Order: sequence, then C-alpha cells, then structure tokens
Amino acid sequence: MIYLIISLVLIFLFSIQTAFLEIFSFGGVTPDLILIIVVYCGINFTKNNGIGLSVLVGFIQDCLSGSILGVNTLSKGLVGIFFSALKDKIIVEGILAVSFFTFCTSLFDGMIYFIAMTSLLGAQFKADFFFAQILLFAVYNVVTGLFLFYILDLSRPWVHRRFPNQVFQPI
Amino acid sequence: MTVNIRYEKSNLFFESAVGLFFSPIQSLFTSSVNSISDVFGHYLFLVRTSKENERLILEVERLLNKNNELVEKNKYLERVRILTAYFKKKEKIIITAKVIGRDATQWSKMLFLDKGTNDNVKKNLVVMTDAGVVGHVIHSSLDSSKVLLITDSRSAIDSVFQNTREPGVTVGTGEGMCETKFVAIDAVVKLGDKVVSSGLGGVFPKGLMIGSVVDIVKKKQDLFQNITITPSVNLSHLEEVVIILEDKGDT
Repeated sequence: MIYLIISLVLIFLFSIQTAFLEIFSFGGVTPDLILIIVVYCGINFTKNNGIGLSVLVGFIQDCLSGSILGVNTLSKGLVGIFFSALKDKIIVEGILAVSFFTFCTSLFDGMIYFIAMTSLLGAQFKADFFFAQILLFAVYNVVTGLFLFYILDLSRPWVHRRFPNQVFQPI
Repeated sequence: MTVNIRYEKSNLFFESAVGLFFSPIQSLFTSSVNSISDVFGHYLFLVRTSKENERLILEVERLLNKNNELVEKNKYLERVRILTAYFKKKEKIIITAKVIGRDATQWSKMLFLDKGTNDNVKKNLVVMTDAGVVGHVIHSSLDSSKVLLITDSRSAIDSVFQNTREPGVTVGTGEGMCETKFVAIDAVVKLGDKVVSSGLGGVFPKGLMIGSVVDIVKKKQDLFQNITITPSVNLSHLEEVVIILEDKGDT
C-alpha cells in the first residue's frame, strides 16, 4: 500500500514537472521536483529504499527527457547513495541544512549533465551562461525544496503511524 | 315556512351570541391558520425555489462549462485550420498533434506530442507550425512521440540565409535561442535576415523558416562570425504543431 502511495505521489510530481512547471520558469530555469524528492528520500527513507527510489526516479526522468539515457539515473542515483550512506553522520534538519544540501545537489546534478553532454555527445554550451543557469537552478531548487520538504514532512507522521518502519526511517 | 320561522328566531339570539363569541376566536384562529398555512406554503415554496435555484445554478455552471468547452474547441479548430491551410498549399501530407508535455529536466529542450506510430509518426520527421520549424521527432512510441526542439544544444540544421544564400549550420544554444555557425567572416549578414533550412542533411526539407538574425559578432582573428538567431516559432507557448509525414511538392 505504501508503495502505491509513493507511486501516486511520484506520478503526480512527474506530471507537474512535465506538464506545467514551465509556467513558473524564472530566467528560463525551472525547478527540478524530482531532484528534491531524491534528496528527501535519501535523507528520510531507509537505506535500500532511498537508493532504490533515487535510481528508479532518475531512470524515469531519463525516459521523460531528451538527454541521453542514464545521465539522470547516474546523478540521482549518486545523490541517493550519498544521502543514504551519510545520513547517520550528517544532520539534515532545519532550513539552513536543507537549503545547503539542496543547493549542493543541484550544482552536482547540473555538472553531471554538463560533463555527460560535452564529453559524450560533444554538445557545445556557452560556459558562462551554463554556469549562471546552474546557479539560478540551484537557488530555485532551494526555494522549491523548502516548500516541498515542508509539505512532505507534514505527511510523514501519518505514514509512520500507518506503515511503521516500512519505508521511512524511525523518527 | 316552518323552517323559516325557526330560522329567524334562532338567528335573533343564539346565532348572534355564538357568532359574537366565536367570531373573534374564529377570526384569530383563521388568521393564525392562514398565517401558518402561508408560512408553510411560502416555506415549502421557498424550499422549491431554493431547489429550483440550486438546479438553475448547476444548469448555469454546466452551460458555462459547455460554453467554455465550445469556445476552446472553436479556438482549437481555428488554430488547426490556419495551421493546416498553410501546409495544404505547400502540398505536404501532414498530421496535427497536440503538445502534451515538456522535458522532465531543466537542461534539454524537448516536447511530447500526442501522436505516435499508430498515426505513422516515426523518427526524424519534421515538426513545424505555420511560423516555422519546431524540431524533429527523436523517438516515437504507439501514442506519443518526443520532439527535439531546434533550441536544444544537440540540434543542428544545415541552413542558408534567405537573401544572400550564405550557408551555415544552425544549432541550438540550450537557452531558447539558436546560433548559425560556420558563416564566413566576410559574408554579408544583416540584423533581421531570415534563415531557412538548406535541405541538406536529410531531415529538414529545403526552405523551411528557422528564424531571424538578432545579433552578429565579428572578430578579426576569427574565421567565422557568431550569429545569434531567434526562432520564428515561439517555442514556449506551443499548443498544436504539425508533423510533416510526406513532402510532395517543392517548398
């Protein structure tokens, strides 16, 4: 049942991402809801679930994008592994910590794409423009991430009560 | 006769007394009953009115919704009519498609269309509007297809300047604009010049409008000019596009 709920949430987020997030584009940049979800799941899910879900949503995002297959699987998977492996050693709570890690993962995600596209496909970007876009992308993700984290945190106690220790780590 | 006498006698006292006694009560009772009956009548009437009102509100909402649907359908058909009229003149076999989604990532520029292999849409077909080139199909499934926009950094179209016929390659910059590369430094290019596809490369037929020049940078030490092109199609507000299935005539 919890997996069905997670699937529905993901379908909802993917639909928003592909259907009308363009409306909220700022300077040609739109936030990456999937990346934010990966950060959230990496931090709050149990280890295997966090990594598994990160790779899965990365793969779905690859299928729903025009970039080469595997770029998002790689970047999201690495983000998931990072948070799943280090969540016992780092504390990601509060606005500052969430903002910092969302910002860093957004930069990382953008860089992975940049490296993959330039090295594998020979795509040519204007470096100054691209890095400015990555920075704006990271800032936009931070703002959206704080909101999304707040919404997801609201539902977390309910999930805990209904499905104790199935997906989320114990609070 | 007997009856009449009796009637007249009783009418004199008893009836008057009873009438006198009961008439205020009767009057009060009657008026009360009438009031109550009025209240009930009006209440019930109001209930009916309220129900009628609710029904009418729903009906108005339904009709407004229907009207909205018809307006949308009308606008859609009008857009499709304009779109297809342009291509019918050009003797192309086309199919119209709706834009149903955009790229799931920030970085690549792509559209999802609602037509796929069921409608003979296949890889490398050209996607356009009446304003110009949108991109080409890079993947097609049964009921949907992916279109790589001309502004994507992986898109490249062999092109020429419409007036001077100077050749170049128009590539996407990933930022909503295109660049025409490999235009010789001594080639005459002016702001506003139109860029069209050259027909080379095998994907885009000759003469399709790509965009117009908005910026030219010439450096003496370079071999080529840096020419920025703005696409003729507003790629951020696309609702319907045309997929060219077959090009029967010259463009």
